[in-house]
Amino acid sequence: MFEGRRALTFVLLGAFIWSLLNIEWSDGVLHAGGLAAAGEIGGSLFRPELSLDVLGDIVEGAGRTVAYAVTGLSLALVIGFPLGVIASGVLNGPKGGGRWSMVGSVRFALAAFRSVHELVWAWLFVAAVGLSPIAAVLALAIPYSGILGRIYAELFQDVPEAPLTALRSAGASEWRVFWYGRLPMVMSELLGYTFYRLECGIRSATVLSFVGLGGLGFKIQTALDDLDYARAWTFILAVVVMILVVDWWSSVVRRRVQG
Amino acid sequence: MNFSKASAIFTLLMLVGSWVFVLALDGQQTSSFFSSETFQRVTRFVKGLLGVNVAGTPAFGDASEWRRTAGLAYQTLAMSVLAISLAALGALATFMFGARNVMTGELAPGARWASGAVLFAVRGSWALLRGVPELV
Repeated sequence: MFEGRRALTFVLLGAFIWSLLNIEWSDGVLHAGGLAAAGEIGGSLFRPELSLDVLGDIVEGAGRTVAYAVTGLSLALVIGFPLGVIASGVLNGPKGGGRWSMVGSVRFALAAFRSVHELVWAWLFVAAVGLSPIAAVLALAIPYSGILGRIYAELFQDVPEAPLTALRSAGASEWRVFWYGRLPMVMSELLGYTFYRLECGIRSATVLSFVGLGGLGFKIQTALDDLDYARAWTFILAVVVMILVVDWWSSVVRRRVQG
Repeated sequence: MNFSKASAIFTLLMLVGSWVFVLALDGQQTSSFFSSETFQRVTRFVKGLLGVNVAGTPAFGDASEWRRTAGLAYQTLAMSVLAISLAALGALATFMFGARNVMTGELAPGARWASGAVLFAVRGSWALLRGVPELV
């Protein structure tokens, strides 16, 4: 065990040194005016613009960003949950025998979905279907279904076997074992991770605006293009507030579910 | 009404509201997502990706493109490893000051108002750092 940990430490240290040696440092970390710009950007954080116009923009932009995040995540759940159950192989019985080709192909599909970043999906969809809000929803839903499916699969697999064996010995089918055993036992983690993905979804939906799909990201981009950092910070702080609200909501719901 | 029930109702309202909003927004576009024009554009796009009716060799059939992509993949991997290493170092340096039980709970050292202020500052900076998307 100790040898394994030591080897892992060396591998991680080696990877860090390798990455340091493989980055182009010759241009320096900051360009000539970088420090002054960083100072100006940092200073603007303490004097965000709070005019009525900007607050109206926040309400409009945040509404669109949250709508993209919620619709994208809901579609990801519809795709990711069943795929996660299949990928976990738990419905194949305690030893998970048989049907492994299906489990393998679903796992491959989940990996393919999540390997492409949502921004790249957004570019592809915008190129394919134009600037439709549905493009934003699909761009979020595809990678998120891959991520949710994979995490759900791992959660379903990591459930302690003893209570499930008790259910089986009482005559429960694997479906019943899943609904009355596995699912309730991982519900808190499942909710916690789904809320975390909602948090990520809000961030991603903000970024999607950069390809022209509207929302808070578009407002941030416009403010940055105008070098109006105070206004940009106001929009960025709105994103931070939304993330904090979801974080708080998630922690309260998980506490209630855990009882 | 308890919090869980209120949360469930709020989630449902948010879901319905968001889908209605997105579909209504799509309806306002010059060409809706659910139209034959979209289908034709997607077909054209997919054919382009597959190299159908493309002048010259498509990118995936060009060995030099694959070499260039391999180089870029190497750079991407190096940047990812460096970024996650720096993130881990940052987290290692600050996690203790953001732990509630260590700063204000049963393990709190000395004056709780001082460690509470540190806890607030560390948690606030974490919220700010993760609240801003990487592209911003």
